[in-house]
Amino acid sequence: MESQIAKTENRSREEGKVYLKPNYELRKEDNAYIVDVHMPGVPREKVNITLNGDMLAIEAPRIPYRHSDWKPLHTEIRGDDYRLDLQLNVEIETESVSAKSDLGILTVRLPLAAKAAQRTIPVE
Amino acid sequence: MTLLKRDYRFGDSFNGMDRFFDRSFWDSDFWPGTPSGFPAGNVAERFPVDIYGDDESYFLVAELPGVKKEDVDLKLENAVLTIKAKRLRGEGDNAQEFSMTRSITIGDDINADEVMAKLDSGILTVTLPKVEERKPKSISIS
Repeated sequence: MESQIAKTENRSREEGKVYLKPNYELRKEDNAYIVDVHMPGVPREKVNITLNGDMLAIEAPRIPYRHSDWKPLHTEIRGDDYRLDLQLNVEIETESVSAKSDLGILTVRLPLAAKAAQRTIPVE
Repeated sequence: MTLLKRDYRFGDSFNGMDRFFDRSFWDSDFWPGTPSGFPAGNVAERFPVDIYGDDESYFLVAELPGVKKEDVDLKLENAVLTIKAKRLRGEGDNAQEFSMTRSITIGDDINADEVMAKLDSGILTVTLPKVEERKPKSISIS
């Protein structure tokens, strides 16, 4: 597990690329976690989601919205590509991970693996 | 048990500082040790804004992820554009409503009747044309 983390960090340094970590929010359902990642302006086909062991990586390029002849008067929005790396603390049903994108929010659904999922145990 | 063990910010040495100044008091990131979770109540969030200009117009770009166009209210008063937006966080019965407001001074040379706005995938673009008499004019030498 340690080697996986190191590998990811090394790759980023080699490329010398600076990413912007998007804002995100977590929600919990009965047997799944939901991650809402704020990626305004990113089309869904440009988003790359990988789950490698317990590392969830979400990467997406920034799409320029500015015309070349617009002169900046005041800027706050950073133009770096997005990257979010989350090391998960729970076991996920990898095959059932799903994602959708709407209004600039990417929603990733991470269903818990059967052994981590909440179960109701009937009393006989 | 929480979902996350760690949340990496590698390759982005300024991010931590930026975020410290950018995040509002209510943002969970402001408080170390709290999960990236719900700020309490219906608090206002700050959203980033860029302003550009050319000879004809000013252009304001704001990031409003999760906001529907019917939930944006734009008001131009003198030189100040006020953007009010709301969005739902979460889904279904557990959804919480968040309001966000920003007032930005643009310029006093805006033709208020011609202002246009569009919202696409969480990016709001407002075009604010300048009044005719204030646009730059080239002067021919006789």
